Amino acid sequence: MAAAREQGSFGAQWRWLSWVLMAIVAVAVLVIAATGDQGPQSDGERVSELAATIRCPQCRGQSVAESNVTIAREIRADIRTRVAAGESDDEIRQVYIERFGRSVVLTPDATGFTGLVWIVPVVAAGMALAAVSLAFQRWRAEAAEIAEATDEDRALVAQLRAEREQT
Amino acid sequence: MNVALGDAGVVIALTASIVGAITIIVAQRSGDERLLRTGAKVAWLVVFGAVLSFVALERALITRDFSMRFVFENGSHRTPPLYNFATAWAALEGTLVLWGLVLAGYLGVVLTKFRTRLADPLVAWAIVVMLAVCVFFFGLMIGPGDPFTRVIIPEGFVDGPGPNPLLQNNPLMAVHPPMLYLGYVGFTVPFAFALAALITGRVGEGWLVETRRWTLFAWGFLSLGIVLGAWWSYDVLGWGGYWGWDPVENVSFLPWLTGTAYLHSVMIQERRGMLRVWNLSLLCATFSLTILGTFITRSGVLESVHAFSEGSIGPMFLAFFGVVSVVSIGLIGWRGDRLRAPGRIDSPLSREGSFLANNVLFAIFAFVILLGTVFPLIVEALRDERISVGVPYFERMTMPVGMVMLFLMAIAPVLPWRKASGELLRTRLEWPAWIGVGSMVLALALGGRGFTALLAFGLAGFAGGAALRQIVLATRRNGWRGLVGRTNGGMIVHLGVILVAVAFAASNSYLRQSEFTIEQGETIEFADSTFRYDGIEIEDRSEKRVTAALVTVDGQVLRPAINQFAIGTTIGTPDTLGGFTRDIQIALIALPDDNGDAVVIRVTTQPLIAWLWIGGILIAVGTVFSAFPHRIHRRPIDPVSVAPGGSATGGALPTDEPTPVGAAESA
Amino acid sequence: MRNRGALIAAVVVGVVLTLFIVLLASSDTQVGTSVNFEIVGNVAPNISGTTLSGDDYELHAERGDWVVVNFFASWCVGCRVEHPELVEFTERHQDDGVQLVAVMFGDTEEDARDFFLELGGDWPALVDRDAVGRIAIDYGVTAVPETLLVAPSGRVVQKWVGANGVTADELDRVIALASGEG
Repeated sequence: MAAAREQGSFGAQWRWLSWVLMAIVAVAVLVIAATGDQGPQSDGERVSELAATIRCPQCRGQSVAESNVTIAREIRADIRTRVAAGESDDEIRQVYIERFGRSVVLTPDATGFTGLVWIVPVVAAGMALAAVSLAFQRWRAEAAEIAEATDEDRALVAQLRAEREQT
Repeated sequence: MNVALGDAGVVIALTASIVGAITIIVAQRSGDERLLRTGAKVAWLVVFGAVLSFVALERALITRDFSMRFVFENGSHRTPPLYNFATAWAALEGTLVLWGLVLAGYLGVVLTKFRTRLADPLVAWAIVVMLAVCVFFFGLMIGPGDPFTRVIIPEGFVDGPGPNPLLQNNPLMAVHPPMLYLGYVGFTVPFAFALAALITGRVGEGWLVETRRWTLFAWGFLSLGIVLGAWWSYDVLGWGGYWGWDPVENVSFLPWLTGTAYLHSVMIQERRGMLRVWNLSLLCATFSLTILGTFITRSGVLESVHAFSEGSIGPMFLAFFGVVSVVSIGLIGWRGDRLRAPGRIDSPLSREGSFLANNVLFAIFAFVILLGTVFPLIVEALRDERISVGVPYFERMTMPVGMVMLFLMAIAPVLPWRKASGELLRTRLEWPAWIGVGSMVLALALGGRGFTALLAFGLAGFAGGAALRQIVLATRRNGWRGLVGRTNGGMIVHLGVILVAVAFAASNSYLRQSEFTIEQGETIEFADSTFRYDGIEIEDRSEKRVTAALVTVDGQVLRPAINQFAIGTTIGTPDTLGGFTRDIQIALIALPDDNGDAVVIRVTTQPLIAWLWIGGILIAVGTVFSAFPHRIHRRPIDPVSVAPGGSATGGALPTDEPTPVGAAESA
Repeated sequence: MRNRGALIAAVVVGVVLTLFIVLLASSDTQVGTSVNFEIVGNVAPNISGTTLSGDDYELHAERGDWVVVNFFASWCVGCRVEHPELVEFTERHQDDGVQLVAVMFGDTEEDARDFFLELGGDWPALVDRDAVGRIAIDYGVTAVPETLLVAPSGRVVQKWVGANGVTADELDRVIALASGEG
């Protein structure tokens, strides 16, 4: 607070300088951060990451990475050999979809009926935003109405007064 | 003996809740105060019955009374005392008894607190609603979920199987479920008052004031319960995770979200008298979501690791969920005319505007989670396809919502009521924003990379700065008392939530995990640490055999183990080298074929895990602080950043909290 | 007008909730989700490796014959129940070209060998730990015992999962049914 008050003595433009500086630093940091992002650093880690996106077919709501039942271990071992053989993440996932069905991947499809799970929340968020901004618009209109009404009132009052003075 | 005692308790509680509810309704109708007091006395019998049944259950467990089916199926001489006590909530029927006990406990507290105000229709109806909920739960205990049934002990029976091994592997299991239930069940009280307000037509702000603190307590316990559950997952399941977006975790999170939304939007109603329908709906939704959560946990319609206890009572909970929803919607519709509230929010850039935005965000958050959780069911019903919606979906969808929430947490605390100017935001947010930018730079300097992680750190720093600013200003003005009270207690909760968010972002973004097959005496390097396997260690306990692998990590010995339980189940126990900056967790995946052979271990390193638990503790502390009645009133127009000296007034101005009807009791 | 809005909102919420409850009420409990029948109707993936007796085995070489593929493990209780049925089945089909091949699942070669020594059975069994994991995944096996029937055309006709495995009669019934159709 104190710092802010001291700054109040500077010119209006100067006061925003601190924010401009902040924005520059923030954007710079985010750009460096985004470009410096590396994926998994070893095959072992890539196996773990992949395994976390595949459902253990025998378990109840666990990924292959989390479970330790036989099939989960077998699939982890299989992922390891496939990663070592140079297959891509999508290729590997596709293998398990063919063997165990679509439900083996924990990421729902973005297409078709299943795509709704991705789209509906976005639409709902948009609708909520629209509803809130509509409400604010209405509230502002109401507030404006009241303000205008006072002007009319004044005119009305003046007119009435004039009439009264005449009588 | 125990079976008879327990049955007696349940019957007493059930009868008392029915008789009590009817008595109070009749007394209400006739205005007979003596009858009303009799009704309250009968309601106390519910408490007595619930305690009796819980004592009977524990007594049976402790004395290993295998003639009771519950003990026969879940008890064992081998189970250590603490876990034996906690076995009560290790299976379905026992959790019902615990639920009944907690519910009756809340009923008892309500009866005590409002003992002088029974004639108030609002209080009387609230007690009736609570008794109705009691009827459901004790009815379950008589019917399909009866814990007190006898079993004929077969010849040659020596010992029972004991509770689920996963549930007897960590002392957290003794506290996590009771905390969760204190939270879940605690929402019954505000729900009861909300319904009572609708029934009596007194839908003004009076009932709100009565229930704010109850909601806060329930919310605090639920938060603690969720954090303890995460802690348990981390320590027991051994995959390096603490939150798996599992259906059961999700449904426990839903009432937390709606409850949090309520705690914020209730302030708009107190101040401005707006959002009455919304607030009532939130409370009803919170309560019915706890029932829905129990249904999903218990029925097995959704796959979950946590669905430990299943039974035929799932449909009952679904039916109860239906009844609660119908009654709530019906009542709100019926009272719709009285609920219309005049008033408007002048500017989106105001305290009330930010609360509104907060509610929209929480609603979206809850919607995403609910949709993702039940979507596989929808697809299966409509398309006859099987799909899974798992961690990748929830992380991707909730991340943006979380970011906006953090941003809002930064801005909202400094906003005044009614309207804020850009100038005001500029001055008040300047140093919080610098803290945000500073934390980004710091994270970058420490080697943190990744757009989302850094953005999360920046926003968290911003939000943390805003919360700290409020706390600093309040303590500067009022000393330690500045920490107490709703607004600043709330800021401490914010700090806790921010810590959890930072720890969540950091541990998710910088998790490193890999499996290694490691020979005895071999040393491997991973994530800047060295790991050496030194052989195995076998320990035989009464209930299990523990085979631990000795792994030396940077000079310290960890003992990840595999437990082979006497009943034949095998589960692992990871071991963690914890710290404030980084956790290293090792899980033993496969035992050596022969002594001296290689073992398979999984190494997981994650930064800042400890701060999840610290954040959880801070949330609990902040909740207690904000539940404190604060005597220092502030100017409502400029909540905290008013110049010193102008603060201790408030007599003439409307205070932050409208004087409650029962103000004398809360002081 | 505002009241009508509230009514509409209440009705919409009510309808959505009703649908939701109906959905939940009509959903089965997810017991047995591990079962998947993706492979049925498809060409059986090849099985190749060394058997217990040290011979080489190629499933594709058996084309033209009925082949029963059985996944087992020595630690699996259901497999012990099932095993005598498989012995009975091979005895019935000693000369008619109907084959049985067993593939170990999540077990060690030693234990698998002991399993066969203890319970009998002389059909080819693949127990090479490094090779069999891939085979199980190719067949979409999630837990043992699991048994599949491969038609002479090389396609998988049927898949059995269940705690106690298959019976010889059941296998013969399906083979008779499928050959009648084909």
